[in-house]
Amino acid sequence: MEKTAERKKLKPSKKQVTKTIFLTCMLIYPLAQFLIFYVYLNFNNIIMAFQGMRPDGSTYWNAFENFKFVFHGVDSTLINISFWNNLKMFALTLVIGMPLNLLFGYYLYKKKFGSSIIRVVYMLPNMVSGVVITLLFMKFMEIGFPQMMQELFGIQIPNLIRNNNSAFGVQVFYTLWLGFSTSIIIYSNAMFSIDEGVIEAGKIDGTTTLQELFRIVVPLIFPTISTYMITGVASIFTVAGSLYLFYGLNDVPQKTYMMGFYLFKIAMAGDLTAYPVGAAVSILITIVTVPLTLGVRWLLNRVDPMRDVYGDIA
Amino acid sequence: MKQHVKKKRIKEAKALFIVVGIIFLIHGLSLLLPFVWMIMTSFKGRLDYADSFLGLPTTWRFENYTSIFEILKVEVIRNGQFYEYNIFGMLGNSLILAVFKSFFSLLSVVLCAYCVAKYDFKLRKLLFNINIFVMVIPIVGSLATTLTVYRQFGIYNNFLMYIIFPGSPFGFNFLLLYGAFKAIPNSYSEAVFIDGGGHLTVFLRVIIPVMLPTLSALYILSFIGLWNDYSASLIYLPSVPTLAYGLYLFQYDSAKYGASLPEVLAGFAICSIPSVVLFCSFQKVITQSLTVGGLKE
Repeated sequence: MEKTAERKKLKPSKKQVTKTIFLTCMLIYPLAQFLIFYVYLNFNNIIMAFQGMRPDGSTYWNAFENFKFVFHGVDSTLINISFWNNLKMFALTLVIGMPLNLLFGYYLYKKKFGSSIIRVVYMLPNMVSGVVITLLFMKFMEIGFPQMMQELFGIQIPNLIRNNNSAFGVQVFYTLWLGFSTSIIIYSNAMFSIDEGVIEAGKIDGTTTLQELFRIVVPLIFPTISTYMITGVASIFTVAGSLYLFYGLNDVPQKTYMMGFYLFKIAMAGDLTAYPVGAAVSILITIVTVPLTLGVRWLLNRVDPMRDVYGDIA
Repeated sequence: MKQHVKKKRIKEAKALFIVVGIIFLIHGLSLLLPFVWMIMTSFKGRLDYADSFLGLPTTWRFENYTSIFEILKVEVIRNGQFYEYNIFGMLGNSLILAVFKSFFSLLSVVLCAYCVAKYDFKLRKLLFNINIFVMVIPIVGSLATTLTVYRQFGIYNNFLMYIIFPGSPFGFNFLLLYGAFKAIPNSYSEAVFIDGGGHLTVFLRVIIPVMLPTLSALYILSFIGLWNDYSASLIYLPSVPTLAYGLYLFQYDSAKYGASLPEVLAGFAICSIPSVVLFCSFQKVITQSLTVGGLKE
């Protein structure tokens, strides 16, 4: 009698079986892709970093030669420049972009003059091909801007896009110029979810507008800000700017190189023997990115103004 | 005293919003400029464009919009042979890619996020943590390996495979949908179970209709992104040129086909029509559904 009861207990109910079948059917497609495109792909990437590749695609064991090449090979200067350019680009877009994003988001949240039109206009660059935007920007920088400076101030401006010393500055400006679109909408949407009662209570207590923004709104949307920051740091070295659209594959000024573009160039150049170097570079920058991201995450946890209320970020 | 604080508050708010408003205005206008420039230049003649880079067309050449249909051609190599695509072939490729790849990408995320948000099972916590792991600790810059794996699985230069396998479901969209699914009350599904419905009925008849605005917004954004993207053909599908890729190639090759920049821009303007129409039609749904929460359950 006891045994039958135990068996009954062990045997899953019909309800459980249908649930398991349903979950299996639902998850098989996404998980298969995760296993191929994340687990298998990255496993391959690690293996490839220690291999050499012949022009026909066959591989051989190459120990740490690819890593040595990264530090001492012909591309080491380029890799070094790319590494620092990515860090500079991130720092500049963070220092200039983040406060402006918050201010713009706050402007939309307060539904000030032209907010509804601005919400549409800021999404427009996403509607047009990046090729058009780059084309116009390049034409303006190469023809329009020098012409304007000559006519207005009599100053002759060199070609800033092609000049090795100014090209990176142009890239930073271009990234910042196009950088405020979806992020402003996301920040303002997060602000709209704030309980009006909290804002009203602040007003009764006499908070000024800036105090309201920095002492009430920013702390309450901090989860969104920190998610943005963490994923931003995590993708710090994948940024390639629009270098390919600006210069094509082979004419990028050396001082403008970025890690994303360097890896893109390796993949696109069609030389299979260079692939393992790309894999080695990707392993190295992952080694730098992981502690950096975890450090930022830890720091954001410490400074989260709502930490005492909601607990740590997972 | 209170009156004084109120006055100070109003003054400060006014000053802040005027400054932000002016920056917004200047920046917003500069973002509109590429769009306006593209349209204006697309109506110019060759000489007209050479004379004035930013000005209005002296005579409006509508012929640019008809001639681009005849001259826009792109050559690709498939199985060692040259194929020439005209604008309709590229339009077809763009449409297939944008419609179906957006669908499969979203499907993959929806299936995974729904199960993790709404069901209690052994892998649930692990899958959520994997998403956080993927977002926080990415393996960076493995494009060369991606190409190798794509070749191994027959995805490289294979239109159908490229569409069916959109990649890992984890990332921002997973987080966004996880939060949205989680917000749907469980009482909805319980009512269906009481009426004798199953898990699939709940998913298809209750959850999907409730989530339709968010899903539509994500689908449209993905559609627009893929429609305007030239890099998919450049990197993974070199024998399947989309319109964006074709135009990207054509701007370098235009002289060979006797085309001018205004004609190329007329092509880009045509290419932008579906994105702009879609965005304007669903603008409210798209902008309202863009929310990202914190990285915690």
